[in-house]
Amino acid sequence: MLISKRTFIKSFGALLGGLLLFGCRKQGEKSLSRVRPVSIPDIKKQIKEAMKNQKPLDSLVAIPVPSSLKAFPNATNRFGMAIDLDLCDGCGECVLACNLENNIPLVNEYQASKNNYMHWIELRDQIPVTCFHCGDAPCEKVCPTGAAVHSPDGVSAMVYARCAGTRFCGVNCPIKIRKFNYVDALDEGLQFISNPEVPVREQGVIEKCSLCLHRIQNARLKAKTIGKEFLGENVTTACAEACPKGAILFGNWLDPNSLLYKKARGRGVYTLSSIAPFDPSVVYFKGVR
Amino acid sequence: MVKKLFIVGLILLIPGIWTLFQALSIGPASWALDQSLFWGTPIVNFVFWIGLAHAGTFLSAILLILEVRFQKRISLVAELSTIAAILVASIFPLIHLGIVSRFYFLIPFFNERNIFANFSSPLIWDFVAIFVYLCISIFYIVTHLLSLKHASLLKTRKVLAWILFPLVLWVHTIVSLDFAVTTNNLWQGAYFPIYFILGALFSGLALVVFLLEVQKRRVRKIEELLIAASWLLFVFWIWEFFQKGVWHFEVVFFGFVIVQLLWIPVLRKQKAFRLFVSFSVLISMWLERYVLIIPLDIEWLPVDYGWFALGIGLFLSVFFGLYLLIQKHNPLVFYVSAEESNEKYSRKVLWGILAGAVVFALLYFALNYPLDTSVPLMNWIPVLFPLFSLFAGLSFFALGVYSVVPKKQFFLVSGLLVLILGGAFGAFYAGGDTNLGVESKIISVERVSKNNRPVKDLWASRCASCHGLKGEGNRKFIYEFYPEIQDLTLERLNSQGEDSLTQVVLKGRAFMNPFEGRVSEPEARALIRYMYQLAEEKE
Repeated sequence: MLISKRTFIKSFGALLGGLLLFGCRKQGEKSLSRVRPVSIPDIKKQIKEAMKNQKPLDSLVAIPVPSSLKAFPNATNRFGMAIDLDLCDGCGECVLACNLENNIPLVNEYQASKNNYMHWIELRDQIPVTCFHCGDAPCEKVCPTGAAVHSPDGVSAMVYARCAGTRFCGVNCPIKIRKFNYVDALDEGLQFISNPEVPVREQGVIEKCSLCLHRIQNARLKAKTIGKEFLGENVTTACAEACPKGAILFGNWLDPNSLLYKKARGRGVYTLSSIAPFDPSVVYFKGVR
Repeated sequence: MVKKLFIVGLILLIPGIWTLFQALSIGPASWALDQSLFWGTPIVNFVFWIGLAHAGTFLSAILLILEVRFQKRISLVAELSTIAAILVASIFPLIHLGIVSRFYFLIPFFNERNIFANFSSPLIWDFVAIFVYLCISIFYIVTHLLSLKHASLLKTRKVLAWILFPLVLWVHTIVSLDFAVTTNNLWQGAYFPIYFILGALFSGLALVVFLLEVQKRRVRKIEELLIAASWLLFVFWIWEFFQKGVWHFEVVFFGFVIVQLLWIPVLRKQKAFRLFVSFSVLISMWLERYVLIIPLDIEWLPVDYGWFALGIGLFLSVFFGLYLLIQKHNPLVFYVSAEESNEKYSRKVLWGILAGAVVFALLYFALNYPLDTSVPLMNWIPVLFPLFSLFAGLSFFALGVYSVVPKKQFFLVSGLLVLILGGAFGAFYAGGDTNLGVESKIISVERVSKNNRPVKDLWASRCASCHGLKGEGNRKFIYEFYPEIQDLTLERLNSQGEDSLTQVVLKGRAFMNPFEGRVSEPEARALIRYMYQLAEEKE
């Protein structure tokens, strides 16, 4: 024998330990110098690619107009959106506006080839699909850390700093609209920073439509400063703002003066069949009731 | 043979460690996943290995309770395989996390800031149950080894077996609930816990057949159990087919058809054939989990293959490493078992410990229960029993060990343990720095704030929402969230000093939020000078 057993075991142990330590080493702080600027045409290109191979859509089913949440029966707000399918022509402007508003990163070529994009709004069969902010959200029930929580305003929120990345919420979402940050987009040069109000998500957390929470909170702060009750006036989401047909409406389902509430009168209210049991806050308008 | 397999395990660990390194440095992107498939091969391997871990307990603890005679001949091997398999199994969910360093968010531990884990999530139940299972399994095997010298420990062993019996069923039920509570149609069904437990037993029996063959021993009863389990699982596969239209030929072929060949005595006598059947069952059970968790065709990456090296390598090296270690001290330990003892704990001790366990579990809930929670009390029950068993198991183990180990040694070790655990407890309770540092900074804002804004605007945009435009405090906002802020006076400002106040702005203090990254240091200094100005104006 060339080496004794003892030497073999010793050197083997040292090798394993060294490899393990090497694997667990602290990665250096990410330098911003490596960031390659991402331009708006890059984003437009990926949106176009995503629109070319759209995922299939579940069937639509009629549901009643959203009313107050079970968990917060005394709340005065329940923010939500409606997408008017009679007006929507699937142009994809809302996706671009959402990407710019929320600093949504691009994906690398490998993920793009597999048709996995980070877009919070997806077009499926020409219909925009986003997080439905379910009142009885399945994702929030299974999140072990409480990073996916419901605000009393009816927003299904994500606390990025609390997310450990178990991805249970993504598994339990019936329409798989939650997106996981597989790479550090800032480090990979995939991050486009256009809106300083929205934090850049780190690698390893889930993200999804926030109903432009930063806009809601800014308006709420303003209302509080002047001492007014906040019912969601003067707020709209980026997608609703950008829609050339005015097909997307943002508003408060519990405020009778809200435009959303008024427009819902007499309209057929629909949602996807897999989402219907969970009391969604974002709905589709189609035809008349 | 044992030594050879130990070396094989060590050699397999080399690609295994490489896999671990890849997975930790690249993250979940290193194995096959995408935006619609969030759970991949690590979860498959986790369910597979935790299943193997249960068989050891089944064959040792449950058969001990049932007073089955062949239990004595296989118990130590089974217990060792349990420990090794739990260690392997517990690695996978940890690697699978998006941010591995945040694993402690999953510990349902009460803290000063009232941020609690979500008790309606099966992952929390998982964490508690598997941790407790590992602890009690370690107590159990240590008791077994000590009982070879001190026969009085046999009564402790029996009590621990009684604790492990329901615990093992509980743990695998919780693992099955990870799937059964979701909205995925293919994972739903009230039969899931039993289906999973049976699958675990089946694969575990196959593993024990293999481990016994390594020792050149054979227990015919286990082969019979293997056939029985294959029929039970076959029933479930047929049930799944009629309920959900799920039928996987390869699973049934490896897991049922091949096992039936054991009926033929000629084949059954061959050692090679018995090994073949045991591997076939292991393959079938791995495939079963795979097709359950990953229903689509996905393209595997190198790390997906590496899990095999990591899992098998770690299992073989831990199992046979411990095996060799134990054998060195007591060469006959795997073939001889201590005599049964008929001693029993007195009723007083039993009831005392049970009452203690109930009090402990209730205390845990009382300390952990946030008053404004929306989680129904029902969801706490899954962690109730593991906590209960942890307390009871620890008490019986300590009592048993206390009676045989020198007193000085016992108090030294337990005192040290209490110190370490108490320190960890305190550190967890207090929590760390809330300033999350570089990783969570809003990077872009720093860029925006670099142009020299007039300090008045900066005050209005950053500070006035709480402190008010003139430093008088924005009552309407503060009343809702914070205690009343201090009056702005020159005297108070002077007592603190410009430098330290600048640090307060940047780092935060008590209810003041840290503004590092949102204002630069010169800006913070300018804000403090602006405060002096405001205070002068006021006076």
